[in-house]
Amino acid sequence: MKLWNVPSGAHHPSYLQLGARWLYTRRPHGLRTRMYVHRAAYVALSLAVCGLIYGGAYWLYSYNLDNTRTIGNFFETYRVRYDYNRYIGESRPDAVRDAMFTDRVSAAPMPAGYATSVPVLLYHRVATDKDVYNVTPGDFKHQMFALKKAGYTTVSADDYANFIAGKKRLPAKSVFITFDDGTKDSYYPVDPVLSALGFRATEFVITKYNIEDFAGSHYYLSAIELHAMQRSGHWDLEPHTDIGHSYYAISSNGTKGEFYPNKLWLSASHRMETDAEYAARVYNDMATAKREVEQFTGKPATLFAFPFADIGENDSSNYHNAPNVLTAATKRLFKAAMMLYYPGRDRSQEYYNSNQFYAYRIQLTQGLWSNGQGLVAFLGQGDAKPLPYNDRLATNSGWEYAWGKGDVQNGTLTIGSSGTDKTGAGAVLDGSSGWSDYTMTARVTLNQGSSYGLLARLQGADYRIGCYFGANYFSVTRSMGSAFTTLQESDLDGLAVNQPQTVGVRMHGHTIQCLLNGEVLTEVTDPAMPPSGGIGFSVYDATHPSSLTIQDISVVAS
Amino acid sequence: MQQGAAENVLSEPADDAVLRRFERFRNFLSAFSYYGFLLLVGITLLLILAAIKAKTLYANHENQWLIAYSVFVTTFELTRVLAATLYRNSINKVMRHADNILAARQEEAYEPLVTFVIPCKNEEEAIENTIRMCFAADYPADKLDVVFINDGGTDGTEDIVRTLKKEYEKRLTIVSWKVNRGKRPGMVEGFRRARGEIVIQLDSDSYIEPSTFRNLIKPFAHPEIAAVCAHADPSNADQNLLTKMQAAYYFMSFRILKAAESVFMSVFCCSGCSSAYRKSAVLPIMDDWLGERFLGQPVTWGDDRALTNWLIKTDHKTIYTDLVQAYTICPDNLRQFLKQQTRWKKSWVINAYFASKFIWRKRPFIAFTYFFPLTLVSMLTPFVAVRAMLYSPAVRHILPLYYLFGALLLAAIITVFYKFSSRSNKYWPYLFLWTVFNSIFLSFVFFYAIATIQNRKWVTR
Repeated sequence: MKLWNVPSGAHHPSYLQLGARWLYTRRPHGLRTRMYVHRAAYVALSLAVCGLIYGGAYWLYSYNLDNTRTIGNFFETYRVRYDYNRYIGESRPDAVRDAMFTDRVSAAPMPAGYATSVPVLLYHRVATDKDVYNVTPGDFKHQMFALKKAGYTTVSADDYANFIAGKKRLPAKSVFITFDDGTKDSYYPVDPVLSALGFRATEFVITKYNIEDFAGSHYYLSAIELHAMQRSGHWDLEPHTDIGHSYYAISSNGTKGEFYPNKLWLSASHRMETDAEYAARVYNDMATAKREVEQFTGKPATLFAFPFADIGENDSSNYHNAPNVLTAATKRLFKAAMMLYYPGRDRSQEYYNSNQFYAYRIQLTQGLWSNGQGLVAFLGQGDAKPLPYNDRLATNSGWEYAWGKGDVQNGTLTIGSSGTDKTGAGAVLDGSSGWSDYTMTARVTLNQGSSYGLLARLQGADYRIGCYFGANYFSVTRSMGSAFTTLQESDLDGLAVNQPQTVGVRMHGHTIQCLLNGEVLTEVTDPAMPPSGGIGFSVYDATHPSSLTIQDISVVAS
Repeated sequence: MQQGAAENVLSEPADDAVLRRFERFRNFLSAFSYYGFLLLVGITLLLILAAIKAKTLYANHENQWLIAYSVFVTTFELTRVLAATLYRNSINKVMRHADNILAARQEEAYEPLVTFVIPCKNEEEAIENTIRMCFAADYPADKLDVVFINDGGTDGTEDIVRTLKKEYEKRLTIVSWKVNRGKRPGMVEGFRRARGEIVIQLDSDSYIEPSTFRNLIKPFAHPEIAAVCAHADPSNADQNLLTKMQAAYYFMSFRILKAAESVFMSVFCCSGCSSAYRKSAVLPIMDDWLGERFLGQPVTWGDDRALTNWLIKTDHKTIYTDLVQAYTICPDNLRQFLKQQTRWKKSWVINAYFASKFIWRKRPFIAFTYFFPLTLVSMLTPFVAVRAMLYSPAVRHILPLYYLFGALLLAAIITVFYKFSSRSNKYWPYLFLWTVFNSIFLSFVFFYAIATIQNRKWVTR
């Protein structure tokens, strides 16, 4: 068919013109032409509509599996914004306006300066069913609201690792939020809250369930959901374990135990694992988890969280060397590993440039700090305390009880034996672990018990040293791990029980001085002493109940 | 006062005009809101469809064949609806070009001789009305006649027709067979005896709305067109639930499936109840059509589908027109209905086999965009239905809710188009019922039809 006539030598019309001319030429349409037009229209329409639908379907599919919850969360984000605006006291119309038309919710002004320490929070599932590790969605929301209102910002996994290594400064009031296990309930109820508040969090995933078993479960997140998390920009993914979140046979009689802290029973060869096999197995699991997460995210995995936060430290293992092997293996692969904070540790936060390999995470459990105020208060207590420090003990500014029980009331800190810890009690001041050279004094009354101690240079379970006073003696005793060493012991007559005494310690480098009524009783130098550490008090009686009251605590740099 | 009265007189027609204009505006608005609403519903349904497909991908990611099937069926149904949206334009062009052709031939109107052929057996109740309706057609009386074939009937049908013969005289021809020979020989006899250039095949219980009759003839002005299928609705639609469901099904099957086929001028089945054929196209293939055998036996039913197949095979075009309204009777009890469905399924299987042998050569576009996909869908659907309705609930303890929801969603999309095409058709809710019914019953009918395909008896009525 000749579509156009171009006289020879004439200016050739543009293809646009030709097309227009072809379109507008009146020609006797046969049915055949019409059929071709309809075929073209049909193909175009079909491609367009089916393309849109399947494109849309694939988009939904690739973004997320649980469409209804995802779509719901889109609206949920706005609701959370509104709720937050109401929470910080905006009027209803303002809250609506801000929720609808601003990207971020307003927060307290960011505090100036850099953070010395960062608290690490641990959540598991955000769900309503009864489980001590579940935090209800309402509690979670209020905790996040409280953090936001108090001016907290959240940090990424890499930032945390660099902060610990002293490679990156973080704003004051930073918090590192982590979730373990990669469950659906740690994502769907959480995501809109993070999204609304501009927060971020890190999910420690079980690569077997979250990545290898593609969408195979209604409990664990699938790879596709992890993709959605990555794309959201406010989630970091780090390895938890590959296959180590289940229980395995750890003895010939089939007792089951945790994967990491125990040697496993090899039923095929009817024996326990050898040291080498154990080391290879745990290393391989970490390496597999690390590799799979890295392949998934396309960037290096820097952190590792031990399943059940257990490396076999507390006699929970059938292999005494497990903690050392695990620590060595983890250190080869990661920049930091996640453990659990326990009350009475000298610090609840991790410090800048501390190169502290294990992060002790503050675990949020069901019913704990429901309205979020307690959480903010606790994090505030954990901040590094500057010197000089004078504690009038009107409120608890960070005293945590390592064992026994304790209370801060009416200017007095009271510690004593409890139903579970019958031999005594210990109190540690959270946020004091950065102190190095100082003099600490306090007015102390031993109400009941045989002795009490003033503790210093607390470094978790690794180290502590203290001046211990009894009815007719005093001593300087050091504790490293589970080993107690009495460095010096002297008789000291006339220490009045039931009478307030002003006692103290003076720390300087590797030296500890014990003070009584301002006088130096003794001075001991311990080369193993770390340059800094927290302070605390303890009370002890092997057979009877014990009780100690402490007042007017004063710490002055020296 | 006088001035006021004069104003009144003057303003009256003006008010009228304003009112009329307002009325028109209101109609326009209401139409807009109606179609706008439908459009919104349609878009929403498509969005839900996308979400459902995503869910299918998720839920069945380990079963890629099921995903493929689901995408395939959805695409097929969607493209049917999309093709049907082009139908209005297509039929308008056919009619307008028919005018152009007549103008070119310098003819006033296209009025060829037309013959109705009514083969029947024992239809004394319906026959009088059917024949009277034929003659009532809006068409010159001298160009219209009827051939009635009594195919071995034993009741008073022939007597009734003989009475009518007195009235219509030469225009009504009666062929009387003492032995029942079957529908195909009856139709062939009709074609042989027909005086007209256009032959209209009519079931004994069907009739064409006289005022729309010319629209059935006009497309034949195109020399390529050999068959035109009228739009048929059940005249007994309101009788019971089953007939209402069938009314919805008829509408969907004509206005969507046949319409979509018609856009490409290849309607695969010009249904026997009311279709017009060009005699000159049918005569050469009549013997082949009559002598058709499948697996060694003559094919009793599916004469309409077979004849249309032959026309397509001989390079003719076949169309469907919704500008002609025909009525037919549909089965009003389940037993008859299932028998009819069985017959149709058998006919479909056999003719699909015949068509598949030539269609890819004759109509490659239709063959690969419609015919073979249709074949595949029809073959697979019963198996998937059995899997979803029986196997999964029994073995995997999965209720077919999701399957039914998908089917209902597609039905809803079709319904939106249904309401676009005909605002007044009231049977659309029954389409959903039909879908459920279809999923539950008709898949099994398919297996039954295959199993009994060698039983060539007519079995209804």
